[in-house]
Amino acid sequence: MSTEIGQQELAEIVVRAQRGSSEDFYRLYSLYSRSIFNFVRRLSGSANDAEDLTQDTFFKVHSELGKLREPKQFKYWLFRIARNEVYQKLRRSQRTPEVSIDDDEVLYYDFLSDDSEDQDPERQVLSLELRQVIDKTLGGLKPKYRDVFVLAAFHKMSYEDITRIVGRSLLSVKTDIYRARLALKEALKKYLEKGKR
Amino acid sequence: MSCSDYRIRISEALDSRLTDAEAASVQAHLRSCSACSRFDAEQRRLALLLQKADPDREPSARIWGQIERRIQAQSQPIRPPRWSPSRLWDLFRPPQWGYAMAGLLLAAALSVTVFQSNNSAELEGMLAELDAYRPEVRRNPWLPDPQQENPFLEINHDRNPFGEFRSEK
Repeated sequence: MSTEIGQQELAEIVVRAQRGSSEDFYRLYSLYSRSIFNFVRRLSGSANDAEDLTQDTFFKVHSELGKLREPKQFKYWLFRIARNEVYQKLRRSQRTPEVSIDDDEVLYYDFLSDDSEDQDPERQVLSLELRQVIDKTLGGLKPKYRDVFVLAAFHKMSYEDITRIVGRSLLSVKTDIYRARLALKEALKKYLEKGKR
Repeated sequence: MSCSDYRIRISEALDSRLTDAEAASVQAHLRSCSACSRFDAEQRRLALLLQKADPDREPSARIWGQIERRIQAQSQPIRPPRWSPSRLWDLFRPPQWGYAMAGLLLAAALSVTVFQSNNSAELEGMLAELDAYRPEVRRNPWLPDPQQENPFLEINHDRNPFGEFRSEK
């Protein structure tokens, strides 16, 4: 389900869910589970953890929904909870995503010019590897760069919305996104080169 | 603006944040600066790479079932907030009630202040009159009369055990 929903309509759904409507709580889950799953997956660097984290996030949302005083702020509140769940889990496990890549064996493909990767098993492997490298690189970023970058670059959120989620100033969000881009560019340099196939 | 300022703008442009004027100024800079132009191209390529390499995925359908089971196990219905400023405000709806109430409270506070200031002015006048007639009478009626001896400070030498002790010595 699309997350494109008017603020007023969202607030009404939230209020009904606060009053105990399971149907409306499910509606909130349907609206945001995909975004939250992908957000926590990118922050944690693991699709398996992302399932648990999505579950934990919505369970917490259900328990705490009564405490949300501004139903229109639901989206930011939800992402804040998801972000906290990720950082709590990472702190508990003291883990960063691990991927081992042998640079000498990497063939340089132009991932950007060819859409036929699904038909080429070798490309599929490299694409999977690239995803792992992206996960690792994101995982290696400072948390303050990682969350704002993921929200801006993948979730296409406005910087104003991001400030509401991470609770930092607009200037800080802007410069942290820029720094994350610099770090990613360095880490993914070889994949950014033109194909040498 | 320096090149690093322009690069932050280039990053913002990727997130569609620039106004037309800002975008035009970035474009003008890119035409004259090859380093920033290279940075812009790399960043566009990176954005595309990320989009292609890591698209959104569908969460597993079993997640909802697990959430439902946990909610049932907890069997705690959602309760609306017990108290919040917005809920308190709801008590005064429609809004004109609130304004009328605030007006009444303000009027009551003002009248008490005026009454008190009038009273104290009247009292000052009476005391001034009294002072003119008999200045020594003016004193605080709530404090003991300084002209009377304080019974708690009175020392009775006959009953003072320390005095007796000294005299025995």
